[in-house]
Amino acid sequence: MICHLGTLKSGDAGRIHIKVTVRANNGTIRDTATVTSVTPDPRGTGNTATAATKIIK
Amino acid sequence: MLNHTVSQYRINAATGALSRRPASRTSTVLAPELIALAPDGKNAYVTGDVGNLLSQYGISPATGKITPLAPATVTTPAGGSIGLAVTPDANLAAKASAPATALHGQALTYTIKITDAGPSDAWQATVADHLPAGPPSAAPRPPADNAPPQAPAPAGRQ
Repeated sequence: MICHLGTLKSGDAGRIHIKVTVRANNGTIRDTATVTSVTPDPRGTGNTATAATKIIK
Repeated sequence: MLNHTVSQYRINAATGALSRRPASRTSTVLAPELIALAPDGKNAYVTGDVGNLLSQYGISPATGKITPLAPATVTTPAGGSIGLAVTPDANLAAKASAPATALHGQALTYTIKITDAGPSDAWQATVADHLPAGPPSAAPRPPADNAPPQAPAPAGRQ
């Protein structure tokens, strides 16, 4: 899934909420998001984040 | 640029003719040679043909008035004529959060927080999100705080 945020002002933040329904019966669901921009980001660190949810019975 | 100054003009959109802006001249380094505008239009920089100094200015978004920054000049590595380019620089970061556990059939919300620590604006910021493949979710999903609605996300399945 791709979300276009437009211009993110310096010092600003934006949030994306992704709502799903769990179909798995067990295991761990991992959501990974990566942000990029036309504006160079020479540091290149911290642009990818992952959240994990363990499915329990 | 004349007499160690930088001057501003308005451009007539219809004719292309220039007209001097009021109070539109400010001092620069000696023998100003090159001027570069930041892509976001907020700053201008002028190099000189003599010495190794660069003048830096802020540009008012409201009036367009150009004002020296503090310090008004900075030293450049090379003296005399040098090239001048302005490269914007963003500092993006992503943080993802979700409940630590969930039950089968339960609605689950992932939140992705995107920040730009600057100093420049992040143009055309895009988030690519990956969830494990699964059947389409029937649950409605709110759009990002400042983004248009997207197609439904797949449900997580493992």
